[in-house]
Amino acid sequence: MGHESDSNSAGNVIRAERISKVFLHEGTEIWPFREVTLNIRRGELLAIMGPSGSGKSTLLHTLGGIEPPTSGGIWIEDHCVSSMSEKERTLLRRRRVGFIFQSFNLIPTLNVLDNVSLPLTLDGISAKESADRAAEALAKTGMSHRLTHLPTQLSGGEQQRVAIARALVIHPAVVLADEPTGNLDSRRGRDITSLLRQLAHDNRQTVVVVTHDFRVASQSDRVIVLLDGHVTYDGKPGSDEELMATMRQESEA
Amino acid sequence: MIPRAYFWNTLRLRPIRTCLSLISVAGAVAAVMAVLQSTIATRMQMNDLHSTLDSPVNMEIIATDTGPFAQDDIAAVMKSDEYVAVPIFRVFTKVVAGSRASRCLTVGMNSDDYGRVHDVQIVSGRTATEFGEVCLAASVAEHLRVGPGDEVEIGAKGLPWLLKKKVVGVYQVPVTEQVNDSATVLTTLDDAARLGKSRGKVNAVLIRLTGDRSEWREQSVRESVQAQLPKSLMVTQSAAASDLSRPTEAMIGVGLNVAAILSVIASVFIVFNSSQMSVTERQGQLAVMRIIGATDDQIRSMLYREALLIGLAGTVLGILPGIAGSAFLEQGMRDVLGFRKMQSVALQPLSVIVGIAFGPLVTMISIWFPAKTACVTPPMQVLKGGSVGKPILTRRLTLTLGVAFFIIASVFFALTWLKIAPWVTSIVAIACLEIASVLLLPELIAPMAVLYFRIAGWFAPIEAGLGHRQLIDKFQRTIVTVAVLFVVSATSICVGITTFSVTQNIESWVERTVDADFILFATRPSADMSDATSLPLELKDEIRQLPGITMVDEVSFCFASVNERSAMLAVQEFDLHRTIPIDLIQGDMSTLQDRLQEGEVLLGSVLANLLQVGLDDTVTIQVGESVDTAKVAGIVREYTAGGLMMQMDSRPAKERFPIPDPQVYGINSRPEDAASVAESLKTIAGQHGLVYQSLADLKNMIRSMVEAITSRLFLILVLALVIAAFAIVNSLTMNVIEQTRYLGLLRVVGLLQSQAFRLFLCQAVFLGAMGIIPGVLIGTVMSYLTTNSFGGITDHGVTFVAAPELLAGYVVCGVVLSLLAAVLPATRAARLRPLEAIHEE
Repeated sequence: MGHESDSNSAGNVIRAERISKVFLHEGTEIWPFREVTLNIRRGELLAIMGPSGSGKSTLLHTLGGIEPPTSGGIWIEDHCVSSMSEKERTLLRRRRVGFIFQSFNLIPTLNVLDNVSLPLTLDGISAKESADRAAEALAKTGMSHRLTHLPTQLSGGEQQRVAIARALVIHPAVVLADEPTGNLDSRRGRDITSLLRQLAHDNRQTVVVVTHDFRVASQSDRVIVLLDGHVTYDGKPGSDEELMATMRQESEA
Repeated sequence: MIPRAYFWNTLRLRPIRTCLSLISVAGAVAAVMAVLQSTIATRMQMNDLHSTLDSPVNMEIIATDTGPFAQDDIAAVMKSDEYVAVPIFRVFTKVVAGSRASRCLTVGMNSDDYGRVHDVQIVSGRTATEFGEVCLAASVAEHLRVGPGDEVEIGAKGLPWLLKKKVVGVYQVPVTEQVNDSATVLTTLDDAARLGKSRGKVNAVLIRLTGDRSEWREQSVRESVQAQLPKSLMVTQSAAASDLSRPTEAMIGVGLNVAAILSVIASVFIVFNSSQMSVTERQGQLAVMRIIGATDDQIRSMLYREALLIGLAGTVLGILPGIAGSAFLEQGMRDVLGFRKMQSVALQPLSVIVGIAFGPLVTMISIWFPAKTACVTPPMQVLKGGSVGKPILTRRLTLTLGVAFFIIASVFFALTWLKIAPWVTSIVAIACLEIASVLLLPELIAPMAVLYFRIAGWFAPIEAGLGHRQLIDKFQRTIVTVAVLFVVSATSICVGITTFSVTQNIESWVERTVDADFILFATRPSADMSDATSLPLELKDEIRQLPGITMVDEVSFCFASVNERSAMLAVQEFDLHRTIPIDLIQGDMSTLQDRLQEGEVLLGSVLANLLQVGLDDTVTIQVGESVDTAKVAGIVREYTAGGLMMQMDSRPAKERFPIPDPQVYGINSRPEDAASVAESLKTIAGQHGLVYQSLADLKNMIRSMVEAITSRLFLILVLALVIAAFAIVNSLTMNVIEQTRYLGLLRVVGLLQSQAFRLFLCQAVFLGAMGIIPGVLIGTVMSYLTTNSFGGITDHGVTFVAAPELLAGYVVCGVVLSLLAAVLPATRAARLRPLEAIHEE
């Protein structure tokens, strides 16, 4: 599957080289990001920050292969995502990329266990194995007691835990989370952040989180700040005040 | 592979959606099955009628003076390998049983010849084999209340007394018996000859070809037989009575074809709408699946499997209503066509197979479009609530296609109009016009929405504003919903108004052509009219003597050939009438009476069209052996004998042709004596075994027939609307589901429950009105074109009757149903809990 890279030797799970994305809206070109180069290591928890409309989510979706970049190259593990067909990207997502959304996006007509085992079922894995692995993933996120419930019967925090289990069940190389705490109160948000951090460090899984929340960013290994489609900061998170100051400084500049 | 749980839960946990989908498919399957079955059944019944009317007798030998002749004269032609020859004796008789009497045609033939030329079925008893035995037609036996073993008395013209005969059997001729009462008595050849005071003689020989029955062979046999006959005998062409009904049947055929095509179009639209909604509702879920790794093939496969299941389940549910609907429609058709006694046609394999295949097939095809849209739209775009991709049919494309279909329809109509293309082309043109109208509909919706919501804004500004925005934001859905209502309305109105026009035409034709207050006749003429029984001539004087009688007109019917084409000749005393009782299309009414007295003729428009003759042209008429020419004094609208009708005045007709004795007396009386005359005529009818009918009876009968058809029609139209109203439920439910969060926000900022409710009612009225009103207008135009396309068959066509009360009733019912359809989604919207709705995704 995909196209092999000969320069992925530094332990990078995701490598993006000079990637750009452009949309046409009523005849006007909109560039969510331009010429972004990024390397993300195995087991790293990376936070992408930036003001609304700065292109964070589009960058995340492009890195995960939901949308192809307009130019530049992206590699996930050894696979060149940017030159893959739609079907190849779908199969890569199914097996190597887990997604978590702010609005959970669980299937309302499936119970918790079926929701989590969905990616495995899609991959043709037997029902029993899928169910076992889903139960295992749910145990890791503390949702073993809710296997037969429908999403509408869960709280927001519980729904997000199920969504995280669904992302983990495939043992992905990378988990991409788009504002995973945006719909949760601060306590539940903290729990989810801890869970993501634990994933990255214990399982050596790469986690990329798009967030507005400085507390989430402060728990990450690395933060990048996106402004007007460009990476303006790439480094350690530091304190909330430091990050805020950095963003304000870049914004004013 | 998508988990089976998703598949089942999708159906189980969305009961309203599942029900709507199932009802759509079941309704469509039932409609297609019902229309197809009733179409096939009607065609079969018409074909049965044809096969009987197309008498197996190819030709007859009769005397040139139509009198009896010796069997020795025909000995040379009786045996041949090429045909079967059956000698018969026909005589008009009066059959009496106790106090009841009946005027009949008695036919004598050897018992071995039963069934050799006519399809005679013995219902009870046996055939008449011995002298003094008779076998009665079922209708005669029923009227006289006799059966095998009973005795009857038979009298004939010129016989001083009645002869006793023993009834040995009752028979019927399939189909004709069921269509019309035949009044024939079968007896032995010797018996009939004695009744005709011509012992040992016959007065006709029926000849039926064996093997090839082509026209050229018939011609060659006819010439060969004629060559062997003495000059006193001649071979005549057997009257092909079915020719007389073919124009009417062709007209019915057009109606059935239009109804079948349009009902299929409407059904496809309903199923398409339902499939579109079912997928659109789950765009978000499908997008999530694609993000986490479902391939397009998996999504499509899941949707196709789901469609197959819905299609199959809907089909199972639709079969029973389909059977019931087909029985309902078939019964209606039988009532309309007068096949009342005909047995209903068994459920035909074709209609069942098409019905069963239609559900799954159309559901599968209709899912293709939304499935493709679901797979081509970027999933993140769907999750962000943006537009669900570029529609496959863009506005420009629909406009182009709409104009193209409109041009095709116009060309086809022009070709039919100019008689370059056959009339069936007009059916294709009508279907093209409907498709063109649907495709051009989006161009009307946007400006009409501005107008409607501006007006609605005067009464409910907030609701109108929000409703307008929502409908325009979801323009594709609005178009599909309106299109479903439009197609169903246009189809229903086209079929409805056309049927209404035909029945109204018949009613008005009766008003114009029947001016007698009372009618007396012996028996209803059988389907081939040759069996029409003549009335006793002395009866006319008896009736004239009654106090209050102002006119007794006698009408005779006989077969004739006009320019070598079979037709019915009706002869009556036009000079008795102050206004000639005809529906004149061409000709001058002021000079018509004089021209008819001079021996000129009136031609039915269908006959004139077939013969390609017009006013003042000369036609050659043959009745029996008499041949003469006559000028055409007028063209009239006629429904009798399928319009293949010619009319002459009694005096010149009798001078030139062998016209049989009258079969109908038309009687008028002074208004003040009407009641006493009616009583006297009833008594006379009873004494002579005649049928009495007053004009009021006739009008009431036709009026009740028209009312029955109209009420049945209206019921069908409303049923079609009810199914179409599900499109509104679909569309508005989708609007509620998609805008739950938005509605929640509005509720938080102060939108009242009643306002939320009105918002959806406001939308429903717009959707209903936009689909129904243009649908009614286009349906009316289509009906106008359909009635005009009948002109290709009948020349005069059918005069279009707009029936404003039917149209207004339909629009009102449609709008009310639209409002009712909105109640469910509107209630759902009004009951949303604001905070939950805000968090709903």
